Parts: sequence; structure tokens; C-alpha cells
Amino acid sequence: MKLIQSTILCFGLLSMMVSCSPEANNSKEFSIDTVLTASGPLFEGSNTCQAEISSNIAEYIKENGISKEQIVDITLKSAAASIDTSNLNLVESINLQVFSDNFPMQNVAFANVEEGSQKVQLEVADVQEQLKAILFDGKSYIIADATIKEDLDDDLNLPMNLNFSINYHK
Amino acid sequence: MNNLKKSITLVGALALLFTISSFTSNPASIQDGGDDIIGIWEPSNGKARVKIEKIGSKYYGKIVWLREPIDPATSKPKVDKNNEDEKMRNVPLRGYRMLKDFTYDEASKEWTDGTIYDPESGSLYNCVITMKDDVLNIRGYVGVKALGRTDTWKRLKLKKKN
Repeated sequence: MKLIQSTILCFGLLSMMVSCSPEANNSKEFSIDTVLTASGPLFEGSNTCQAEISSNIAEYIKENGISKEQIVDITLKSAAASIDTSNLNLVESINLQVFSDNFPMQNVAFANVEEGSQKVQLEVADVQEQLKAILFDGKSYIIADATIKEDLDDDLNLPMNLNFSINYHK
Repeated sequence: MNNLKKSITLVGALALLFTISSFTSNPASIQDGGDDIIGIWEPSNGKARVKIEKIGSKYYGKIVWLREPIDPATSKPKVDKNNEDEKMRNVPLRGYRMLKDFTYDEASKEWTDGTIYDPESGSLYNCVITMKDDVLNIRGYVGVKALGRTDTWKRLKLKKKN
């Protein structure tokens, strides 16, 4: 009898936990446009283009009547890089990563760049964690490890458009 | 005689002022001990070279050279084929950040709170780094630091390109 009572109690607690956990049933798109730069001269191989993210996400959610507590998670939906015409056949691949002073770096998107491409659509990672924390942290950074085929005397600039989905509950 | 004493005192004071100001106002003299780790390093197995750099306030290391850059199975450059995220398995190993998020602890003279990724197994470990005489002791562990494994990396002094 005691076993049955305990089992019922456990199921009850479990169902309460599931029903009370926040579930995102709304989403808003949020985009960041930034230019990532690696200061030249650069050597053939992997070079780090970086930018500090100065997103106005806090203002954006306030304007849309969403509080930070309502946000369940934030995911990167798409990332696109533009390549300067002078560097069309120079960049081989782009590996995009984000982090902040208090949260670890993570890969969020990657692309092998086809020769002659001016616009590169990166493949977005399935595993994305702590983007909400990173974007709301004091200082957050975005870096692109760009592999180049040959040495470059100038800076390498990668204009980047990032689209995020803010998933929240009412 | 008095004038000579005054001159000596003045010169001494100026010298002292110069010494103090050169220690306090010249940023190059106030070096962050954590930056000693910046450079190119080679793990004990000699299979790769890793460039450690500082981004923001943290230290990161990426693979810049591989002894065997081509995967014999595909005849193409090696990629992160063991990544748990299928979509990230095409990321080239050359350029891959295997050391991430280290901060320097001035008190213990250690780089801590970071992780090391083993691309051969796809495993991620907690990691702490110490340095002595241009040799890094890289200790990877899961959970308990005492149960980890340490590898030694030596600093490479590369010749500058002309």
C-alpha cells in the first residue's frame, strides 16, 4: 500500500514539475549587424576577426513588452557574411563563435566559402547554449576564425548579419 | 658648497621622480603576468602547434599547424569529425580552438576555469595550466583535478617572416 502511495506521490510531483516548467510559446526576431575585423598584416591560415557585440537587446525587449525573466532562450537562426570584392578568392572558411566575460565561448555557425562568393550563408549549430546569458552579459564578443589562402597585407573585414530568435513565454 | 648640495638634491629628486613615473605611467612596465602564456606551443606528442592569444580578458588557444594535416580516410584536410553537433563536423582542425576561456589567477600563478578539447576523441575536459621556464603543464580532468592527466607543452620560438 505504501509503495502505491509513494508511486502516486512521485507521479503527482513529476506532473507538477512538468506543468510548471516555463515553455516558450512566443518568439521575436532580433538582428545584429556588425563588422568583424582582423588587423593586418595577416598570414596564410586561420586569423581571428573580432568585434565587441553592442546589442541593444535589453531596449528591444523592453520596447516589445517582454521582460528578461520571460525569455526562455535565445537561438541563432541565421548568420550571413559579406566578402569584399578584393578578397573574393582569399577566404576559405569562416567559423563563428560568441562569448562574454562571464560565459564560455561556443561555436554557433560555420561555412566553407566557395570561390568567388560575395555573400556567405553560414550553417548554424544545432547545439546552442547560454546565448541569452552571453547577449545580456556586460561585454560580449563575436569572433570569426577566417582561414585565408595566402598572406594579406591589409586588414580583413567581414560584415556579418546575425538573426536571433528570442523565445519567451507570456 | 650649499649650491652644490642643492644641485645634488635636485638631481636625486628628479631621478627618483623619473624612476617612479616610469614604473607607474608606462603601460609596458605594468605587464599582466597572464600574458606570459601568449605564443606558439607544441604538445609533447609533436602532432600539432597551438597559438595562445588573449581575447577580451580571457586566453584561447587554436591549432595553427598539424604534422599530418590530411585525413587519410578522406584525403582532405582534417576536420572536427567527432563533434557532438553534426552540423559542426566540417570545421577544419587547422584553426580549431582547443583551449578556451582561461583566466589568469595572479595568486596561484595558474590559468584556470578553461577547457581543453581533444579532437581525436571529441572529448572536452576541464583544464588548468601552469608555466615554468617556458614549459606549460596542461592538466586536463573531469570533475576532480587530482584525477586528471598532465601534458607538457614547449614554447616555439619562430623566426619572423621577411
